[in-house]
Amino acid sequence: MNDNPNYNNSNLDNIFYAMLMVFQCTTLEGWSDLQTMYQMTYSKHIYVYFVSIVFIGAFFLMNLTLAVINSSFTKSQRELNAADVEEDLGSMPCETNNLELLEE
Amino acid sequence: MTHRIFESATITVIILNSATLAVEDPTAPLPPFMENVEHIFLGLYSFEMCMKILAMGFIMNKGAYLRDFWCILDFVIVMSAYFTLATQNPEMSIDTGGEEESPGNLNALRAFRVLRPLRTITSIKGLRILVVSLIQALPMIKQTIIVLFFFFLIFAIGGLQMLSGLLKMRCVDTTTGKMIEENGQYIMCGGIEECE
Repeated sequence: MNDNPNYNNSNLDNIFYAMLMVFQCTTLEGWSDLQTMYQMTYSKHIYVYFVSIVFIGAFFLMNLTLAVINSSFTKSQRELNAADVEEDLGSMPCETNNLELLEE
Repeated sequence: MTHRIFESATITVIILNSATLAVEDPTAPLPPFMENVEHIFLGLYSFEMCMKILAMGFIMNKGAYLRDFWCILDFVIVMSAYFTLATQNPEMSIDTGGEEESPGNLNALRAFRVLRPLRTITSIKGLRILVVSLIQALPMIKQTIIVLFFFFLIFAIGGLQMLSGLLKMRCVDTTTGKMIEENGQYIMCGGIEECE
């Protein structure tokens, strides 16, 4: 039996390898080589599959995830900064409850 | 209060230790003086830890050393260094019978040292805020991750239905039954590629 390309790693033979390949296309790493190989073995119209993975996955969903991370990061950082200003600014790294001790 | 000096001294020690870790050559055996430098750094870390524990209390009182997340990180790193030192002790590693296993184990334990530059996060306040807000942001991206996973799943199943096993196809000479070779590689065929 023949091996698949890339040391038997590039294939769509079971669901795990298939998810790996979709992930690889989403990272835009060598997806056009894969497309060429499937054009050679299946049909030249298979570009529809790969181009839609790249458009939906890489251009749209990846950037959506980054945008969500960015906005929630900004939000929680603003909250933390606001909370920090109220506290003692020059406290030592590990001294979290200095103020309470001083009050006593 | 001398805490500003204490803080910057700590950061200096960490940066120096990161530098010594970076210049180390993994292919050559460790020079003996580097071993001493290691021990000096470990001593400095332990000194810093002891000072903090003396100032704050160990675990029982409120605001104690081991009740702060960042201090726990420091504690684990220093303790892992001591653990490595204890297992590296020749008297203790003879028990394995001098097999090939012991160096491998020791090397794995030495890998704990890569955690040391992490301590800069503990020491610099801005970095701590950054890391905490990054961790706080994680639950909010749950939905997007789920959508991304379903996208992967849908396309994986689609590809599995349509294209499974295709990349194993090669050109075969029908008279001899051998695969045709070109520049040391077998040619794929079945789609637009026609075999002659």
